[in-house]
Amino acid sequence: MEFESPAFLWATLAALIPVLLHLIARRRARVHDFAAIEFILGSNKRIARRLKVRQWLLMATRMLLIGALAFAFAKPYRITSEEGLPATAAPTSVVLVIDSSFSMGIAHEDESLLERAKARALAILGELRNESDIAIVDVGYPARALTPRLSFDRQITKTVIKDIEQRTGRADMQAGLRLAEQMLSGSTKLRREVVILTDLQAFEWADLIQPWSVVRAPEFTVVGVRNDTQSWNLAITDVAVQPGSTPNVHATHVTVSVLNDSPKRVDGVVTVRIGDKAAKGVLKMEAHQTTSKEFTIQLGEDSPNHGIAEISADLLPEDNRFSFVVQSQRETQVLIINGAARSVPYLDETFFLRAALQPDTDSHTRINVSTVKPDEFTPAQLIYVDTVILANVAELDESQSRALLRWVRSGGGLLLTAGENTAKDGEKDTLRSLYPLPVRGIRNVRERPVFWTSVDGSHPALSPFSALSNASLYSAETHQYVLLDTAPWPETSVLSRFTDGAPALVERRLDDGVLMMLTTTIDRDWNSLPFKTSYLPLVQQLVLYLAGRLESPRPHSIHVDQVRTVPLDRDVDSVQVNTPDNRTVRIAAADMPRGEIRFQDTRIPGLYTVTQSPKHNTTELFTVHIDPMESKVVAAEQATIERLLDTTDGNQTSSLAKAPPQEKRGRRGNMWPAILIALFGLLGVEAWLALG
Amino acid sequence: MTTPTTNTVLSPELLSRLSALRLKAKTVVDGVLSGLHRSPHHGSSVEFAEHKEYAPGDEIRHIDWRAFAKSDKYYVRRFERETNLRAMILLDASSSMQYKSTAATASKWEFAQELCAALSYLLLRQQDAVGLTVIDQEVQQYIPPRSHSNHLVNVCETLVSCTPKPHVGTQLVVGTNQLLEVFNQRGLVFVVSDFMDNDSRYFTALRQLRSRKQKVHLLQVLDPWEIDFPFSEMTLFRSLETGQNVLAEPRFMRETYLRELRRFIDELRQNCLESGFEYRRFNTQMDLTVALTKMIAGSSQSDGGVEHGI
Repeated sequence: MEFESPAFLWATLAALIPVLLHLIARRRARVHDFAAIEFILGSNKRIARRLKVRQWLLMATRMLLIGALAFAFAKPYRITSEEGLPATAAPTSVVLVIDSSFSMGIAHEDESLLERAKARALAILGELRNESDIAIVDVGYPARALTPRLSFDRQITKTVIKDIEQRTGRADMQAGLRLAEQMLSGSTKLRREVVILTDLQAFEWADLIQPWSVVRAPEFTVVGVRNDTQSWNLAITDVAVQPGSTPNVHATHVTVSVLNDSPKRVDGVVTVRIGDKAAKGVLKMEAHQTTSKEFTIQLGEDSPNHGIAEISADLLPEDNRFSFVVQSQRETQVLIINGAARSVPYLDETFFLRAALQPDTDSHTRINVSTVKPDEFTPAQLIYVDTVILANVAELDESQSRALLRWVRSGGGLLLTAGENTAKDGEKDTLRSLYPLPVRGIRNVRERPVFWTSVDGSHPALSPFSALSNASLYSAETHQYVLLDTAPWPETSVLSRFTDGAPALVERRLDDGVLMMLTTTIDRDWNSLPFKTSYLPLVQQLVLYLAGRLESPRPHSIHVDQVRTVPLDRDVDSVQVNTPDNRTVRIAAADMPRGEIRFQDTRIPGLYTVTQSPKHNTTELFTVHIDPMESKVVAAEQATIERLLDTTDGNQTSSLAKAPPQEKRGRRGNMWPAILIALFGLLGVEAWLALG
Repeated sequence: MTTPTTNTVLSPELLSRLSALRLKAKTVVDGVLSGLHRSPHHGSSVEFAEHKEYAPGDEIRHIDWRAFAKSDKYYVRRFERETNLRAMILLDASSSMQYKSTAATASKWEFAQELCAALSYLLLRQQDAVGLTVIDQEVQQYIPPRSHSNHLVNVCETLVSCTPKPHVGTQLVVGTNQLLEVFNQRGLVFVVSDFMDNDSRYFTALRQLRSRKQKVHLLQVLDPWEIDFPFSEMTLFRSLETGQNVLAEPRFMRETYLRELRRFIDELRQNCLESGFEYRRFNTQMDLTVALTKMIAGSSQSDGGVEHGI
């Protein structure tokens, strides 16, 4: 209980006046010698008790009267436990900033924090003076103003508050406060208030900076709607899937990370399901720690490529489920046509090449290499091939070269590497159409070896070397190479040159396909590149680039409200996205101008399916998850909030001004009107007791 | 305290006014001295009472021959036998009789003194014998009934000499018991008191006196404030008899007090009615002469029983 005029409380001592008067009257009672004392005694016996009670009541009533009058003059008011507007009677411009983020979905006794915040907001709305105006800002990402400006229309504001929906993303407190600033900038009221109704989630306050630039900052109230019982949460924050390597039976390893955001250790049961396969285990989770557990599930060929991990439910069940995609290893089929095969392995033209392309089980991309001699190469082999490497091939027959050219034009990737055969047969017509540039001959620079330089770092295949100025690629000596025509050629670009200016790596696009030519050998005959560490990434980059799979696999998991970009295949007419809530979103070609779609409606956590049709009819899966930060429900420290509310930075006064210290926060209820009403009642009682 | 003299007890004005009064007691008592009271025994008196038709056994000398001459019948003249009255006054001298409010001209004791003196005067003037017993918790003074004219001086001196002592209660039964012992002839008994006596045995004694054909008069003397209880402020009432203190808010208890007083008076009156006593209530505020006049007038009109307060 607070008082507007606490000095009047001293006047409550006047309540002792009836006692003093009673004592004085008792002392000054007129003494009268009386004969008929028996009748006084008799009547006193009968009414003495009643009289005494009445006299005490009368005195108590008079004391109450005086005390209550002094109390009323002190103007008491009550600050309820529910925080709200500062206790003030002045007209105020108020912006209610309501947090509708995911963490506000914590339910307690069938009421979520958001529902509680809305109830508080409605209560504050009801307390506003008629001269006060109000606006509503929802800081659930993306933050937005629910009322275009400060409004006096209580009914509309009430409807807006009631219609606020629970979000699954995080809160954008910074943006919300900026919106509040914009709202209040046009206010002419003397008092301006920003009331934030939130669960005080710690990270929302961690990086908050001053949102106000105006000199006259509003007063700032933070209303925490969460109690202690709602400050703990279990959440699955990540699921990492490692597919097995066995061709038919995949021993898939699923690692589930669980956050125990509570002050005590918790044992939880984690279940992982992929199709009809399931694994279950108990996870012992320390307080405020993220604990991981790996499950191994044997999947068959017909197993689905997605699953779900779950943990026992708590007050915030939405983050106890985590959908994931089982990534299949992307196999790249590479066909090497070896033009200089040798029986001695290390003398073979493709010895180093095949070693560099050896599949790596830890890699997301697996490269299957098959090697044929030129005369063994048939066009039918191109059906299952992503990249073809002509390694020092001297000659192909016309059907071979024509099929190869057609394959390239249809989207294939071809890498030609030079050698003595290239030079020998360089002018033959069978391969001329495949060379990116005309071959002028072989240049021997053994006396003065040349080095790689002018590497095009913007090219996807060479981008890893752009940031490495001292990469071993630049120290590899090349003492012989095929000299290509340097004249400009359509659709052809030189990706790297030797230090003498001759092209080292050339790319030419042929319709939908790409062919590249390395003007020196892929083995150690003309250069020392195979001995350099840059050799392996260079070779793999080139192969994957030509296979169209160079781009690192897009993450299969995004957070709520993040945008999912899906590159489109060629000749896609429409894209269909199936959402977890069984909605189907169709995107027409007109809405995909840049060869990709940006899917933004990711507010529902779960599995999304993107189907491109009709030509390829490819399907891609991705999952949307709750932001792990939203699962951390630990409230911000009081000191942190106070620091944000009351910071002074040099000459600039903090815009997050704190209310004057003499003003208490909370819902104010004036008590003195009730006391005055009670005074009238007391007056009646006093009169009845005195005259009765 | 100044000792009142006879003159102060009986002022000349009072004496002159009282001289016109005649006390006509209804009770006929046997007395040695002749007086104004009629005797039920017809005898050799000088005052004619009535005629009676002669019957055998009547004295012939009482035949009224004149009546015989007129009516030719024998009538016997009957004479009233004049007797003197023996009256006993029992005066309460307890502390409660000292009470005097500002509304009254005299205390209850002073009023009772005057009343007793006036009664004595009246009775002596009629050649009746008057005795006085002054009591509180015991008999303070006792004067046997005498009828000579100087006896009034004795009575007044006794009245003056007696003063209520502080914190002394009332024991009327002491006085009435003594009357039972010494006053066995028919006569009058006046009990002058406020009757604030918790011991009601005196009533039993008075009934015994009544059974001896003695006319009992209960003369209750009350102060006007005792009757009206006009107090308004918080008052510490101190009992004159016991010294007990009672702090009371009169406004709240007046009604109850008056109810208690009324109940007390009604009970006293009812007892008087049942016992054949005369009851009179005197307010010390009133004029004594008027009060006595009314009392005597009431007595002459009624034949015993209770008379209500004045």
